[in-house]
Amino acid sequence: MFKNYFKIAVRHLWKNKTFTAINIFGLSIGIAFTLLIGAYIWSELQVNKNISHKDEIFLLQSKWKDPSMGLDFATLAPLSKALKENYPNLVENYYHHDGISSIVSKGDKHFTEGLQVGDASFLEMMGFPLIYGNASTALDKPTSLVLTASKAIKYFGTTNVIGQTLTIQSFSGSKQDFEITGVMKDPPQNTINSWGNGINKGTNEFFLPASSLRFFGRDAAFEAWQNAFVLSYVQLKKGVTPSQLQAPIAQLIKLNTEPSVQKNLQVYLTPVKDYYLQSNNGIVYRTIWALGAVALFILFMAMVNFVNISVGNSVSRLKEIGVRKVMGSDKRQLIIQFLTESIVLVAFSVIVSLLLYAAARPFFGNMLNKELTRLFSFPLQFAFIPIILTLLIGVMAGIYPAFVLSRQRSLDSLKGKLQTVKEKIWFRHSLIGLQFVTAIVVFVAAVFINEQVKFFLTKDLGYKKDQVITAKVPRDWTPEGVQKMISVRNQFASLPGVISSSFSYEIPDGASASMNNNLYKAAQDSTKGVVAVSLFTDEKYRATYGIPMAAGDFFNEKGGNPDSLGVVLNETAVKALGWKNAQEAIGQQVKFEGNPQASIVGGVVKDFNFGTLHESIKPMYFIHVQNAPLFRYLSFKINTADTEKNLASIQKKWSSLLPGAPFEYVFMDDTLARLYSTERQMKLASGTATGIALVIVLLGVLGIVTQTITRRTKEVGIRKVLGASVAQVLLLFGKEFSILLIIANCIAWPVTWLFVNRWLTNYAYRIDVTWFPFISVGILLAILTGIVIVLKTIKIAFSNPVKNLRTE
Amino acid sequence: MIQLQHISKWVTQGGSRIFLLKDINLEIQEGQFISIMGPSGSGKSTLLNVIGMLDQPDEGDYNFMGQEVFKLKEKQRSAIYKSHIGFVFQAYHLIDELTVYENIETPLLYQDVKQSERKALVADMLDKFNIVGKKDLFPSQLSGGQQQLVGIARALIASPKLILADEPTGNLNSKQGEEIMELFKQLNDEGVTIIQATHSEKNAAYGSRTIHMLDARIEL
Repeated sequence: MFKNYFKIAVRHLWKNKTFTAINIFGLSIGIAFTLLIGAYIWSELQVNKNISHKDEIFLLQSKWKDPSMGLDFATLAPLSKALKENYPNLVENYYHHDGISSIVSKGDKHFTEGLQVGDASFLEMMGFPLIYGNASTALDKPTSLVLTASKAIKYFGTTNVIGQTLTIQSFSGSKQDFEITGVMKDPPQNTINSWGNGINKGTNEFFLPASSLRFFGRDAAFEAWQNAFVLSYVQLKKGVTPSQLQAPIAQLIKLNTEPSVQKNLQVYLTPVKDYYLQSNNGIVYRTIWALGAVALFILFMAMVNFVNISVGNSVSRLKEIGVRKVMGSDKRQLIIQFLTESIVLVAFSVIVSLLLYAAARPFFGNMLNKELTRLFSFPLQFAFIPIILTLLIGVMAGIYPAFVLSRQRSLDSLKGKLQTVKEKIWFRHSLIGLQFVTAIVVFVAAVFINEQVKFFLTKDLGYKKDQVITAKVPRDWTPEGVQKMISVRNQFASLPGVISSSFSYEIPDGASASMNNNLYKAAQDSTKGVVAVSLFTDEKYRATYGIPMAAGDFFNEKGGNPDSLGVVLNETAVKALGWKNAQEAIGQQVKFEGNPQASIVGGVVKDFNFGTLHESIKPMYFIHVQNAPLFRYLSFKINTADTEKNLASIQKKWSSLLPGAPFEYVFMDDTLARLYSTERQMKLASGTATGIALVIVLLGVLGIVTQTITRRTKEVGIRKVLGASVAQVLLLFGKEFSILLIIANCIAWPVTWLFVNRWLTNYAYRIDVTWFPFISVGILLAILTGIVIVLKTIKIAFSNPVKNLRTE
Repeated sequence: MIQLQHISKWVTQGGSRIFLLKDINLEIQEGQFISIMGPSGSGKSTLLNVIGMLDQPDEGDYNFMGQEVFKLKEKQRSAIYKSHIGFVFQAYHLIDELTVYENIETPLLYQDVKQSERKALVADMLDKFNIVGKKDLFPSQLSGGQQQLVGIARALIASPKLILADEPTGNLNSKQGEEIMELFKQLNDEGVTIIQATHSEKNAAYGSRTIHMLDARIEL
């Protein structure tokens, strides 16, 4: 029986090649898109699932009432250790680590690398497997080093490097050899050794024991309760709930910290298996939902095409249905037959979609900034997914046509009385209308996303980002180190291709300005202060970045000794502190929380966007590096004439001035572009979704028009005999679509308007929502639909009516 | 075998009833060969459809082999006609996508006959109608007469007691028509009850009894 169904299904599909092709094409695009998004969602859900005790490991997070006191993903340095030592019946194990960025060398190969320096419990607690080495002893000695397989290959060209040494620099410039005691299999994405997204994204692939912190001079801070910037994990004993730790944590905070901390800090435990989805305000979670919804909508559109075409095309099946009924088929058997047909068609589409998956995987991986799993690298049980998808989509798409067709009265169809299938035409029209709505929403949204991204990259930021490059420098945060940097900077500045050079702790990359402090007028008390972002720079910073002054000057930049004790504010800070204008602030005294000494305002810069355009400009102040010796970056404003040559000369100078430090420069333009990587991904994703939605909706139009033509050939003939022109015939076919399009626009516009406005509230600086994209998308879709209709109907419109009439 | 009593069927158009069948009373014995004659629209086809249980009248009773047809449930009714009635159409109504073999096989599929048995039955039928050589052809590759032969083979495959034929030779030339009528005659001799609707006096003459219809009534 089933064989018979299958056979007739294949023959029928083969007979109607055009519709079969339209259906398979549309469905396979929809399914492939859904599979790609599904693979992305799956891999996002896999993050941290490889950690061995994932159900018992928790991240200690901090909620600070005053956000300037700490970070939410870190906590007090000794807390995790103290919990284990004082409450061994609750806590099985702990791991906390420092994150250091330093220069790793082998011979004359130097690279800046992320080092994760923490407890020896790391390997066994997290369960990252070693290819070589012993996990329980690998981090025992202060000079031990564990690295990932890919880093081993980067430095040695092979993974079996146990016993080899790498040289690591401390911030003071001293060097020490570390012996490799373990090579770790490259871990899949997790939040233990990687963090953040966009520009903040990074991975530590070098793991050192906490005992090595003495070499880096950070051992004291790692033990200090004043240090609130350490990532800490605890592994609870089996059966212990996170809430059981609340009282012990409160007790430890009370015993070891100052009242100001006790008042402000609340520590809570987040399961490590959920952390990734929740982090960054749940951006991962929201992205998964948004993409999933788009994928389902597109799949739905593809299925709608199938329904429309099958039902519309069923006139040709009426006789067969009648005969089968007379032969003794009951309704159920007919339904099964039509479902078989749709399942066979979907099966073909699924096969095509798997090919499309393989072909589009790199592109989508790039777009979503995530390596998507290869088709044959999924777990074996995933092989069932195409089969389940086939059945599910086959039944969902086929059930309505199957019911409509099997319901037809057998006698009428046999007698040829029934010229069309009795079904509600408005149903199919509303399906097509819904497709139009989806296409318009996606399209208009894509236009706005595109505009916003363009705006991000072209807006006047208040400083000159062009031809500025930045590079990380070794950090020697001593007065001598600062002196050395000044001389290095001056030598760079004397190069002919360099217009200006500056060194600083922060660059406007949206990430490095992480420190802030309470700033207040010296005459008032600290409660009247404002939280302001601090920038540690030299006096050349303003010139290098082209920031205009509003009043005063920038640490005496024109010459002579820099005014290192002064402070420079931005206009927002001036306003926030209550001065009327920049001029009024000059010469006034301000103080910082925790520093009794007052500073004099020497200058005010005009407001500029230091962070991302997601946020509005905050109050900011500049401190001179000689006053607070902190620096990480050298910035160069270079001559536009011959960028290549200028870069080469900086490179050459760099190796002589800063031997042992890699020259890894980035153009400010690229840095800024990376700031908006999420938005640029969204732009690509929405563009792709638009393309796919348009293809599917136009295929749907094509299918319907083709059917309408078959049905109305005779009518066209009669009309032409009666004197209808070609244009009038075309209009005849266009009419039903133009009404649909108008209704679709009426529904889609308000929806899109709400969506776009809501999305734009994420950004402090945003484009205006104008009517232009709505109208142009509406017109464009109408034109595209029109083209499809004209291409398909022009033949019949021009044909000789006598021929058409003869078809009867 | 068949008793129809006071069968009426109508449609309502513009508030008044138009009768398709009006007070039909008819009794048919097993083994008869009945010809129904009458002009177009006189109700021949409707009557055949009612007898074939494809259509239901608005009034009246129908007894088929001792069963009150209209008192049965849909399922039971379709079980009766599946096993006892075969249909032959003027326009053959073969399924275009199926081969000759598959077309003949179709009714057996709907009666859940086992595959081995199906094979034997279809082979037998192909042999009987001398169309073994055409079993893998599609309907479009056959002449009208051959198509109707397949149609009859299909109607006979489940060995029905009754064949209903609605102008079986209407689309054929006279020679082909004669052959088909000879075939019916032969089947009737083998014991199959046949009811045919026809325009042709000549064809009607093959039957053992002729019923004339006019304006939805049987003319006595």
